[in-house]
Amino acid sequence: MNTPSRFLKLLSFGAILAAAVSLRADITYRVTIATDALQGAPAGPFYVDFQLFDGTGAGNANTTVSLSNFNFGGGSSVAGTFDAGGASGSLDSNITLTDSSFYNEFYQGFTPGSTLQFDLQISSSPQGGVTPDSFAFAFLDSTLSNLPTLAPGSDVFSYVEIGDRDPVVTNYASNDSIIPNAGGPGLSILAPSFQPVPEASTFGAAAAVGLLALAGLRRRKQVRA
Amino acid sequence: MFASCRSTLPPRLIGAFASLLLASAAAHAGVTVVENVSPGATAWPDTPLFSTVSNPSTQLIVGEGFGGATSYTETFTVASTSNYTLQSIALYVGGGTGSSASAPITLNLFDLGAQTAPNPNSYSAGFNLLGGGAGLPINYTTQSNGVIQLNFTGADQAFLVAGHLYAFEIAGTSGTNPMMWNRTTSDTYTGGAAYRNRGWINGGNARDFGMAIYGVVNTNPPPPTSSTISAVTTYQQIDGFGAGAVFLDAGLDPLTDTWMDELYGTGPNQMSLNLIRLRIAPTDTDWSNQILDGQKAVARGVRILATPWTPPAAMKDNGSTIHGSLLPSHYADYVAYLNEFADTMRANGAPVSVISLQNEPDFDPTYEGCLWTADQFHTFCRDFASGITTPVMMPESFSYNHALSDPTLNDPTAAANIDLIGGHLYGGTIQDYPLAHNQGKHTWMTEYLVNDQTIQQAVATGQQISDCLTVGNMSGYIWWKTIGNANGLLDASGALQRRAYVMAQFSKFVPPGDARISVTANSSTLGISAFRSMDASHYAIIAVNNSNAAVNHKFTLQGLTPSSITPVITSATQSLEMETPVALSGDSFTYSIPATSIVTFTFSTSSPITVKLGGYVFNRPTNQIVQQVTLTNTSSATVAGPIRVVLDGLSSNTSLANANGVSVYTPSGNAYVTVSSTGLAAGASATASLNFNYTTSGISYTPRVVVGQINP
Repeated sequence: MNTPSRFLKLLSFGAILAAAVSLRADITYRVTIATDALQGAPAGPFYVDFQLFDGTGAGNANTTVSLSNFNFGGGSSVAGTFDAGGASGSLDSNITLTDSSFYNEFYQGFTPGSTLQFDLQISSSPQGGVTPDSFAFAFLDSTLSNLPTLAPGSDVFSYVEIGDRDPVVTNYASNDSIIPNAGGPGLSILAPSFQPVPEASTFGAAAAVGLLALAGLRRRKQVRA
Repeated sequence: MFASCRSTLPPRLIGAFASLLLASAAAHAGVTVVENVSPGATAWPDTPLFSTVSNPSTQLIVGEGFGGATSYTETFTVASTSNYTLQSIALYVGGGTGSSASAPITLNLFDLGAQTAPNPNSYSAGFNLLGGGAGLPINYTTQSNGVIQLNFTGADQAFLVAGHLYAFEIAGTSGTNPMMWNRTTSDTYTGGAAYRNRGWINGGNARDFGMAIYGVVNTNPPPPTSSTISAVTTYQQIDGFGAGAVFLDAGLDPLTDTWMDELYGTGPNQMSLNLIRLRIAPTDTDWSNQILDGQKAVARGVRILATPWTPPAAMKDNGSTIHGSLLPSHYADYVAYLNEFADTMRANGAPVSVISLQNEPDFDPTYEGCLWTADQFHTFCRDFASGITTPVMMPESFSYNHALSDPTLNDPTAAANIDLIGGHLYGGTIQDYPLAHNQGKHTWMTEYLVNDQTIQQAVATGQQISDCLTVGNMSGYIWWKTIGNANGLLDASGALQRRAYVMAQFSKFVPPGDARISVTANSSTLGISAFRSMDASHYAIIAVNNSNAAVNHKFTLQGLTPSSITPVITSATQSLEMETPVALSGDSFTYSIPATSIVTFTFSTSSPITVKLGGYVFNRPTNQIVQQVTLTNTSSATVAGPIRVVLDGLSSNTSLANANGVSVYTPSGNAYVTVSSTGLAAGASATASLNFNYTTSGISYTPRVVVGQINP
């Protein structure tokens, strides 16, 4: 009977587990949302808003969200930032939110182009507690009120739940039946897309371990034959 | 099914006629009434199994109608080694106006189990053997004094068990007189006794109604006793159990911490009671013991019911604390007086939970007292009770006489000013009070005593509690005294009495807020009640065996599948003793309830509802931090709504902006949201938003699920 050795089985399992843990601890998405509806809208100027809440309420700093590679699709950032808690950075470079406080928020003005695109990286360790950490992304109007969306109970375009398992992303479109607080017509914006972006270093390490295991299996087969 | 016919035929022909009727109606349950069987009879027709008198016309000389009663009963014992099938019951009756829609007559038959007549006084109804549990209505047309024969058919031919005591009851409407049932003026039958409103006529000196029993030997084994417990239907919520610290003997008041711990502590060999009744003395300089007792009670999480025996003498029409009535011109002063007591208690760390308007307003004793009429209560409650700052109870009738509170409850303005209905059971009947319950007013039994500390009377108290909860749909039960040799839960030395343990069979396992659930007794001499916790994860089934023989009983659990069930027993020799857990066999378990004992079965199941909390999101337009809560029914059955989530221990840096209400039961005052008003099918989920007012510091709380039509 031609079966892999117990060692090789464990090695293969270890490679898969290493890949899963890597994904759990450090995951990156490319986020894209159309912003053409915002161009020239009376509710502007607009702001990009990011929030990170610590579910335990203690500010345990076990989750960090990094935002980078901002592309405004022909638009641009506007000088002046607001940050609270463990938030810092700028749309011109990178933004980091760490849940070192219960409530952590960053927002900054921008001039909309056709789309807004950025990379979002989440690093977290196991949470504990019954309430997960949560990250949200929204647009604010000129009154610093959220643009209405279809999200239940709150007006955000993306909600990411960061618990003991992989982050769970839920995206929402705008609710154009509701007039923005700053006035003007309701704005129609499709829900953003979140595309996972494998990190080269992590992916490579996991793949290398897996390939090594497969090579071992193949070699063992050849020896037996 | 009922029928009536008039006859002047000789008894034996009547018997043949009845047999024909039986034959023709054998497929149906019911009763056939044959009147004028033997006018002025000097003997019973044919050969009864037993009868209460030998010569009806000469021995049965007092006729009883329903002038002031709702039931008349004769108990009888199957004094034989054989079991019987009931065929007929003959009664000696006459006069009356005849039955009608407004003056109905209903026949009931209850198996009281193995008892020694004339006991018990004040019997428990239990399962009605006639009419599938509902009794059998009959037609009766006025006849002269003589025998009427009640011939039973089908399933109403009850199985009579050797050695058991039965109660044959004629129920009617108080104030009507459809039929006079004749009785003796002496004890002519040792196997039973005559009852009015389910209490002995003439106390322990038994009287007997004219009755003869006919049947044939039944060689089959008695039908098994069984019941089905289902949590699908919930009834009233329980407010608690307790006793009074009222008119205690010299040297016993105020209660010591040791005594309070014994009764109100929740540890081993502590009774976990949670209600205490205190007296509002008629002079405000005489409240020191109430304050001390109240402080100790509140420190143990106990709720206080405060009851006045009389208003201050100066407010009454006779200027005395004894006899007399409250003057209408002092109604406002009386409100101020009750508020002064509540304010004093609150200021001293002993807040009153419920304040009563009067103890026994329909009894005129030679000690402190005050008479109130139903109209006086109505006027006071309509025009003045709104000024009372504590939840109000009325009327605390000595006999749970609803007539005293009916006018108040029938007036929406007056009813809005009261919160609870209280009553005592001295001669009264335990009965439901839909007029109160339909308006959300809980009912409490607030005083009863028997000067007897034996296990028999202690278990009888257990039966009374069971009846209050199941027949009366009451939410609270308060025994007369916490301490005292004659009737205290503790004797004067502080030793726990049997009755305390019997009450703890309820109070330790049915905390305030638990809901009573359905018990369908197919046939049982046990008093059985069942309860579930607010989240439907903890259950208690309480079985009272008030007879002198063990009862082997099968409990079927509908939709509940605990891995094991723990019996806890109090009897003559056992005190809240935990027995070996029993396992469920299929959907049921069988247990032998010892004679003169009370057994509480407890078990837990997984809550059918799981809670998943989402993360927080700040919503700027509302300046609120929003969290989604998702409830999922993980059971295989529908969970009836509403389904709510209570936020226990919510951190003080925020509050819930979209609360649907606050919890009533401990922990009380906590905000809740209704996640599903209609319930959840098996596997289904529902989500609701929790909208917290903005805060930059952490939010913390413990979610608690409450299922069904009960208050959180």
